[in-house]
Amino acid sequence: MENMLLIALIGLGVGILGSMMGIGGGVLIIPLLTGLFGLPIKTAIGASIISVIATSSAAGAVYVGKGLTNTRLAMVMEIATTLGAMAGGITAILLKPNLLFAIFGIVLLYVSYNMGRPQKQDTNPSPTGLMDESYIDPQSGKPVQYGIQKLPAGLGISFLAGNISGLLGIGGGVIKVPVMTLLMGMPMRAAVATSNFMIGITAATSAVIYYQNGYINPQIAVPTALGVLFGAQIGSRIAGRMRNQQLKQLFRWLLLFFSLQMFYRAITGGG
Amino acid sequence: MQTISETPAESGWKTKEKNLMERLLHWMLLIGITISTFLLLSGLILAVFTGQPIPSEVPAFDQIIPELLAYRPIGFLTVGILVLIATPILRVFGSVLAFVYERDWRYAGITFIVLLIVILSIFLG
Repeated sequence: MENMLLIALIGLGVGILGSMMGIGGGVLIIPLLTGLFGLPIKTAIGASIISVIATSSAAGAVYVGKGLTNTRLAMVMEIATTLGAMAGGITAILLKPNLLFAIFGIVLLYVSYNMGRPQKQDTNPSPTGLMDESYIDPQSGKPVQYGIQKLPAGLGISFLAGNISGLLGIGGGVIKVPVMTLLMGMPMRAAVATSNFMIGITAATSAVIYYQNGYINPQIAVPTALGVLFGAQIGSRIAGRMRNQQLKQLFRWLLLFFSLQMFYRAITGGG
Repeated sequence: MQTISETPAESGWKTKEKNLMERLLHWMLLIGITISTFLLLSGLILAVFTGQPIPSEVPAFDQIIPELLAYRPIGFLTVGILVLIATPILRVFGSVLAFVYERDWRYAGITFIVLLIVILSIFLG
């Protein structure tokens, strides 16, 4: 019971920090659960995937209500992400833990690197005739119109993002959002909302596999999910006020440390 | 893929249709997350006040209802987890029905494929 309270508090912290940094909690919660509590990585992945569904549904309800989500594009791309997640979930059940640790270490390295890149401004989104959408920008109050470019390439990357999500129990937004903004020509706000919307069904696809194979441990998954869910509510409310560059740098070092921790576990047997 | 050339009249019509779908999705997600949070918190509170332990595994499917009826925390926690997992799946199911209602066969088909993949995943798992 004491451990559950501690896990809920860690989840709370991860939810706050994750939503402030604009990433899901998975990349943080899995190193913490395996590192601090010595939990098997598949149990940590199972707990993470449940919290990923929770945050996606909660944030999804808000974004859809505001009209930021491109629901039609999401539904097309979900074919690719769910296929990827199904393959990823099945693979994760079969893979040896140390291999999962190694793959996780690589993904953490990428996320840390990706956060350091200068954020490119929107490349002038404009209608393309393919799934044109519009929304009212919450800051300027003006309508923004855009269309989709390079959908086939986007679908390919979506499969990969779904695959990583199913394999490692993370949302996969870190892979999709840059592709949707830089390659597919979406404005940042719409890309974040649409990616988040897809994450719920993507995570649910692999969650049913984890559930049936006994990797959803209620002692771990429940406090994690509730903690992250409430933390994300707090974090999204204070996010605007604290876009601190130093905090971001600190966060990158933390991810790098976690990455090394994952590689260490991969080499020492994974357990 | 769909090409939309928008005249002002058309875009007004589209907005109305879009609102129907978005309201549906908004409420389905909100209701799902509220019910599951309530169930998960109930299970934890029950465990704290009755001192019943929380097992480290979810019960078999045919044991979930008996656990719930016996007011054991694990019953509430398991149903809470299942509602959480089911929320996005029901959201996709709701989208299929809404597209069929709108006679948008292309997107009804697309969302139906997503639903099939999830169902396949349940059977393969």
